[in-house]
Amino acid sequence: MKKNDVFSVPQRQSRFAIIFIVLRSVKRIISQLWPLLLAALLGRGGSSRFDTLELAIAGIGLIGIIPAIIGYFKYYFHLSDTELIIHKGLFKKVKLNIPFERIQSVNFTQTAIHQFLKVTEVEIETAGSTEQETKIDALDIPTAELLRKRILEKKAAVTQLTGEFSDVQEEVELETEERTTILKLPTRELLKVGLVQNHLKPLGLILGLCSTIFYYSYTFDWDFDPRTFLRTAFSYVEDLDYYLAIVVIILILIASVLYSIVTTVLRYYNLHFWRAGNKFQVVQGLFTRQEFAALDNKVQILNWGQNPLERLIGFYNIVFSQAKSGEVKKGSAKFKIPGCSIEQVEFVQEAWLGIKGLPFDKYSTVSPHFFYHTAMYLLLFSSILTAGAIYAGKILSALMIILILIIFLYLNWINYKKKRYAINSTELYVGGGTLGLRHSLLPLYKIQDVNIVENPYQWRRKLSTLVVNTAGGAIKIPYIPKEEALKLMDELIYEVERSKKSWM
Amino acid sequence: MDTNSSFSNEQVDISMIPSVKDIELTGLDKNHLTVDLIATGIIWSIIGIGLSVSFFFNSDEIETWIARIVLIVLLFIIICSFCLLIFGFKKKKYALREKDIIYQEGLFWRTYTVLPFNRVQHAEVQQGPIERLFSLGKLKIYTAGGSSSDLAISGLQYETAQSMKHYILHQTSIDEEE
Repeated sequence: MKKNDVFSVPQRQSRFAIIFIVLRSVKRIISQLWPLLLAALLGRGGSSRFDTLELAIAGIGLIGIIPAIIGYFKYYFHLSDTELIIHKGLFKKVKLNIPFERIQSVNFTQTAIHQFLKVTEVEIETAGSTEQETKIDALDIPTAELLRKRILEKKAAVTQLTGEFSDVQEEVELETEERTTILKLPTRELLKVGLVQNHLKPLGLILGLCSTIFYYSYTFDWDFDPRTFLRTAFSYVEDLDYYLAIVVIILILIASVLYSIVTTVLRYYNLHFWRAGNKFQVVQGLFTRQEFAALDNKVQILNWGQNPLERLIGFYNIVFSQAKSGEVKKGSAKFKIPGCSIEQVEFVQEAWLGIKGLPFDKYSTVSPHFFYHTAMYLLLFSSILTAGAIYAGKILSALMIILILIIFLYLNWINYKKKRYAINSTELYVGGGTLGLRHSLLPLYKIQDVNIVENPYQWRRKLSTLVVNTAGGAIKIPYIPKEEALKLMDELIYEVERSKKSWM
Repeated sequence: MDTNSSFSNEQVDISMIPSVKDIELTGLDKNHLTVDLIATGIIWSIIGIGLSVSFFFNSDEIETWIARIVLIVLLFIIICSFCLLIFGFKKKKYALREKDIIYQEGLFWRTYTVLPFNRVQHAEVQQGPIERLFSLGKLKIYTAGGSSSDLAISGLQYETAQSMKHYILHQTSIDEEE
């Protein structure tokens, strides 16, 4: 390993890193000085001469950028036998020592600029929660891959040598390690995935945007009036006002579907999801190539399910809930793989649990009070509204409220009917959903603590909600008999206290 | 992967699993109620004085009956909050077991928590200024489950809180050695 190991001497990043460092500091400066910038832009009026304010801003900008550039030349990293060592800092010299056994995974992220320059950002994820995020802005891809290989090799060597952490799973990726592809999404499949995403989210976004435009066009005297614009655009339609509403609704629906397709393609383009050693890995994205790794021991809850549209064409999505440590990026703590088949879901389950999951003897349902309690509030609230509407003489509104009430009651009823849970000697399962389906699976040794919570409605009827906390989020079993909740609590706690397995 | 030769996996009789139902819970120190009442009293007096002063100086603009209603509602809320404290106090109970800590609280919305020691990341004892007068302390236990699963028990005698903390950290370290 020693000979031609380039990483034993301090190394700089790829020269292109300067670009990213400068971009980052420009972003920081803009985010701090944007009121000034705005003032300068607006105050400039028609004159083309630079005034003092603009010069000052340019000056501050330059002063901010120069240290960033020098910072690049002061940044070195190398590998010793036991640690990754990073030297950095312009005025305050910083030496970061990251022992290999603390390193959880080495992730690559490529933005469009990275891809163009054929470099990648390298992020080193550590187990500690207080550790600062360690990032190398740019390395050319062969170097980055070699670096990752070396780190993981040395990590494996260190772990074997000390014999520590022997029961803790570690990321070991050697050249010989096999990659089992679980899922690849070709473009056609990807478009399908986009088509079955939750379109309500972009719908809300677009409605918000539209109402903002209408609001401003009312409040300020804009040249652009959306109503006139629409009237002109669809002037060939007779009986305009009636059709206009329908046209706008259709346009908005199309726009939200398009929006989800575009975001899906941007995010999941060329998705490759595979299993290697003791981790799941995914590479995805059109402009920004993202790479996430989920180590088996870091994943706390495995979720899979379908939204109503996904049910129609038989797609499943998988969501890994990982343990959150202080600096882990939001995206990597919980990440989602769309467009899977049920076989792929089962494969992931089995691979993660290490064994074929034990079957559950029986699936228990929750108390119907889960439905009654919400229904009670729905009825109360809507009867007040209906009474008000009838009193005001608005019969149509009253009918609408009753219709909405019926829909909500129905959804609530399905939600109760679908809620179920099961436990065996090693795992806890909770499933449910309204129009879609969502399943969560959790090995018992990953539980952090167990709570029983009761609202007045519940304790008067000897019912409880069981809340199981893990490092990757909570699982709730609502409205079960108190006796049952206490029994479950005893069993879960017993397994946690007995288990010698580390939850991470 | 598990090379431990003493590994065993015998069948467990569910009825033999220790049950949380049989546990006798201990109430908090009586002074805790006093501390809570004083702290709440201070906050309400600040709000009350502030409102009264602002009514007094704006008496021209605010109708007397509005001011009266606001003050009566405020009084009602204050009485309710004191009642909640007094009756809720009896509901706060805890117990230590060999391998976990149990805590319950809540008059209307009740919670009952069991936290195993082998999941404890860190434990500490905190003491506020009023608590110091009564030599009380607050035991905080942190897990990796995020803020929702951290446990805080206030109203313990400071000495008790300290020894509980030591006990918990000791049990945690035993577990790690095994």
